[in-house]
Amino acid sequence: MGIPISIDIRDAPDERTAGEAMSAAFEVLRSADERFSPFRSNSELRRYERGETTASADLVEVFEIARWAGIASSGAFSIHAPDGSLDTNGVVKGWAAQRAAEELLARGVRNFCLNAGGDVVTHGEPEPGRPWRTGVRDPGDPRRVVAVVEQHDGAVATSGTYERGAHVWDGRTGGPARTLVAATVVADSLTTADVLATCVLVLGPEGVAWAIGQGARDAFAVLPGGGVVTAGAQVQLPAGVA
Amino acid sequence: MTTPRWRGTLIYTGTLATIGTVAFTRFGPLAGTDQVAPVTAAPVASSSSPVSPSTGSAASSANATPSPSDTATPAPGSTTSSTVTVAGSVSQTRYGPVQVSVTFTGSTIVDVRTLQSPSAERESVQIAARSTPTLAKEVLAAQSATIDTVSGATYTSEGYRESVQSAIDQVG
Repeated sequence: MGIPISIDIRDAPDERTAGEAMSAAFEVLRSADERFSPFRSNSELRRYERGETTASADLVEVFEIARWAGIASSGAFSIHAPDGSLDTNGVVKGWAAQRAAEELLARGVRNFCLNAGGDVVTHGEPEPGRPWRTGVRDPGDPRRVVAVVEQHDGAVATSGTYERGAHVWDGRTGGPARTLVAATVVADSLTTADVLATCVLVLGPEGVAWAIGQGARDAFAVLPGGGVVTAGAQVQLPAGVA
Repeated sequence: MTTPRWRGTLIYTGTLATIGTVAFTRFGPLAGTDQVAPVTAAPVASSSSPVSPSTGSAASSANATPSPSDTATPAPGSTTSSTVTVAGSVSQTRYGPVQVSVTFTGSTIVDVRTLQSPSAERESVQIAARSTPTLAKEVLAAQSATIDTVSGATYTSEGYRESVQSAIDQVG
């Protein structure tokens, strides 16, 4: 994954538990990174691919999520990379971060924000009476945000082609996804939000409304020219933003 | 339950770098994650509750060097315990240069620090209020400049990885 992680805990049963929950949550992410990395020849994923091991329960779960997303998106979502290898990053990041968030909840942490490489899970509130505010980065300018998602419990995932170029491929053609610069999905769970954001990026503008029918609370996308596609209408960004 | 709960802010930042060795962590205020070194080496908390040593030790357990079984591919024959810190190359990203230093004990990465990074992060985020799409009003708004976190690609991560890789290459 190669991603920065931040976990912001605002309360816990006691301070010791806060530290322990933090460690446990990070361990979930670290372990997933190690086990399912496509970049490590000795990862569980690579060993499975070479037939050296059977799929663990977790790997089966990852495959099931990918299979669901593939069916729901009519093949646009795929963990089969154009070079023929398996690449589960499109599932694992959100899935693992959601699991890490659940680790915090299981230890009694009620108010936290977990950010795994720009994919966010929030729960509770940062301070009494205020929801968490997640800014969605403007693809054209990292110092600006195009929207702010306010929510207590939920997830926000953004998939984009602007950072590493077109690294998301279209499962139907094997070609890079190019019709959108970024896609953001808000959902109950980051597992869902992350997979759907990738789907929308591949499906293009019509994917925004589609995502709503697949479990997204909300979705929007940024076009190469700077326009924004929402589930309802297309909004033009001000000049200079994109 | 009337047991008082702990309230405060405990922020933990780290990076998972899939580079064939180990993940690493470091601590610091969120807004300082991408700022120029020296990186704060201890947990830092803000807001209402100071961090006690117990928090530090608990959080630091995730920072421990993984046991040998956690390390996938230790370099063959490289069992020296000498520690060396190497500065990686400067990677140019769209938003500015990224450079890290990597500390090795033998063939294991024990620390990675950011030497250079684009500084635009949470505190300097400006909200393009006019560009807020007309989305469901109950979850989206842009009338306030307060943001707790940012969703979107982490633009420095590739440059970060490149710089780490160059440091690994230097050590061989």
